Amino acid sequence: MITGLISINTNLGSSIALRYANELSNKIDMRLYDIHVVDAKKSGSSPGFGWVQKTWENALIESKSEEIRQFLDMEKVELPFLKTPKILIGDRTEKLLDELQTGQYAFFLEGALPSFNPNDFYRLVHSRLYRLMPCPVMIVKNLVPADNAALLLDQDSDHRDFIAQFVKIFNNARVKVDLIDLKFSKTKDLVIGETESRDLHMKNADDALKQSNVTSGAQKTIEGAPDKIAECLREYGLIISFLKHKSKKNNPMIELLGRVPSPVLIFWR
Amino acid sequence: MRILVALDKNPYSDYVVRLVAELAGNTWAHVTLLGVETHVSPGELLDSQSAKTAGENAVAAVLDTYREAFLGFFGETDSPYGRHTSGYKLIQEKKGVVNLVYPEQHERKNLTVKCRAGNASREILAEAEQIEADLIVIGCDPGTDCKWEGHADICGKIVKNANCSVFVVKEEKKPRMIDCCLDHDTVSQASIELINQLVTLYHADLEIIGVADAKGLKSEVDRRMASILDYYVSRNIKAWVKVVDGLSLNSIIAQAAEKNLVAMWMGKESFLDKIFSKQRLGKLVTSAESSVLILR
Amino acid sequence: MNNEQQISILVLDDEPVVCKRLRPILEKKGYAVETFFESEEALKRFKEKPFHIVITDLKMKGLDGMQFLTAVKELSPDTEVIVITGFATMETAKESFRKGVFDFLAKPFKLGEISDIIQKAEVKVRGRIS
Repeated sequence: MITGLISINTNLGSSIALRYANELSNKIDMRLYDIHVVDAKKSGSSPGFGWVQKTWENALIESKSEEIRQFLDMEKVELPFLKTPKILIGDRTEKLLDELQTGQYAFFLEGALPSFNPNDFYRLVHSRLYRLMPCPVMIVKNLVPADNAALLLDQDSDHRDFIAQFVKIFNNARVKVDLIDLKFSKTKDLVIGETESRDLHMKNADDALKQSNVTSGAQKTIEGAPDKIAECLREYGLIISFLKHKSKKNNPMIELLGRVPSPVLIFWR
Repeated sequence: MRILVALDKNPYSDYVVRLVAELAGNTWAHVTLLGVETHVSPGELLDSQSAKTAGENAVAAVLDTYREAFLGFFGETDSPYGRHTSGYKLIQEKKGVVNLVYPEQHERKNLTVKCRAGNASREILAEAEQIEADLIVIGCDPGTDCKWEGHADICGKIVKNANCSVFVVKEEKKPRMIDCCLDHDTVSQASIELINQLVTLYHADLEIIGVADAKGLKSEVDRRMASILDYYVSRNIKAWVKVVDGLSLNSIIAQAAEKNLVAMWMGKESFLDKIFSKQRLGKLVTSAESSVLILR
Repeated sequence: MNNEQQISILVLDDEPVVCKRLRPILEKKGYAVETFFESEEALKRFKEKPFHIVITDLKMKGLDGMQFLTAVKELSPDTEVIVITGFATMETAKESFRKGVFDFLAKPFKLGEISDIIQKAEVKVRGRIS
């Protein structure tokens, strides 16, 4: 069984993430923990130091815990480990990175409402939290059934490391996975076709699915502009991809992952 | 449900009639087909519409052909609007308002055809109020200043001043998604119900778009989006969410409207009302290339 | 039964706002109103006590409005049923009438519109019981 960490807040993004995670836990053998970091900076400055500061922080945590508890009650969260979130105070990025490193989580999950501007996604994946993320990250943008997933591949990728990561999370997962070989181009219309099964990277990915005992679905190639491909991928309940931590803004994969409305699981390269 | 269909002699009114017939086919709404005679005084309306004096160009005669087209959508036996009778009498309802009265139709739902004299936007709004319309449907050419029988910005004026939802129809298309923009938390039950009927009519997905201001998405908008999403999830209707920066709303609407139907929730609390002000909202509606639904 | 008899109305809609809106208006008009959010419960009550008029939504969890309409008409053919729906289709409208519905009303509607329909249904009910 793997463990995942969800960062929660009392907003729509977290509501969607929690519900999605709840459903995903029926398909992937995992245990989920939730965490909320009280941003001390946003809560004003401490009225003093030492025990005064400690008391102030405890009061903040207590009040936030109550708020989060009410939120979880409203969300009717079923998973037992999600009912008692860890509440920390401090800088959100640093606290989450600490927790992810010490907790050895298999993946990190959070809700992030999609926007029309792919630069918002670029900023997210280039935030300090994501740049230093020690594990894969699942960004839940919409509440969709997690029955089918699209695993995105491209010709340049070295998939060996990815396979190990994929197997770790998806072992015996009850999710049907389509393999999609992407080719970015500026063609007006999408070109969708069958893949050459002899392609090494496709074969490696197929092996990963078999190794994980995951149902493999279609294997196809999609050629086109990132925005068009993103629309075409809307039908999937999860988009699985890998990305370099240092991907540039004009990387078409960034644009695609930014535009696709479905939840996205990113393995870092 | 009561639908007011404002019609003129331009070709877009043909597909407005088709669209309303489809919607009425599903909803069995009470429908009023309204034409406005802008060149005659209220006192002269009845005489001016007589076939003998005005012929086929009279607004009444044009409305009669729209009625035929509307009823043609329904089979003889299945129509909630009764038998396809023809030949109307002009009956003055009051000064400046004339009804086209047809022989007994045995209808379950009303199909009313009437003509008003006067300023087009004012008369359409007056009729909407009189019949307590839930929806006004009006057509205009895309990307123009909504010239409606020679008068500019009729649609904009109706959108700005109507108490109910207004569907400005600019093209005949089947949207794959209805994009509903929200920037405040007062969303009427009637507007949600209207969206539901359109989602059903078009078999479309729904996208709830939160409009953010410079400080981001307001918490009340976030909460409202969550409750709307809940509403649809509990009814097994696929609803997506998205956030848009209010400043780029214009271009986003143009982009989304290529394939989708853009709907905007307007209300007293609406920031859209402020960023578009009454003039800008009208301009947005009139200059849009695609149909726009204003929800109230 | 006579013309002085109070007309009973059962309102079934899983959207509480509909029952909340309708109930006070109808009670003010002198009807005896009972509201339900769940169709099974409403049907149980109808079996205990038939109503003169039933107003039901179509899209509901469990027993849907069409099944509820069928059950009501089987139990009490004289009950006038008004179907209201937020997701109307031509098929559901036709099917409702085939099953003997008094009227079919798509949401949104103003209270005046449904009041008119109820009034017409009442006339029909009173005509039968007088």
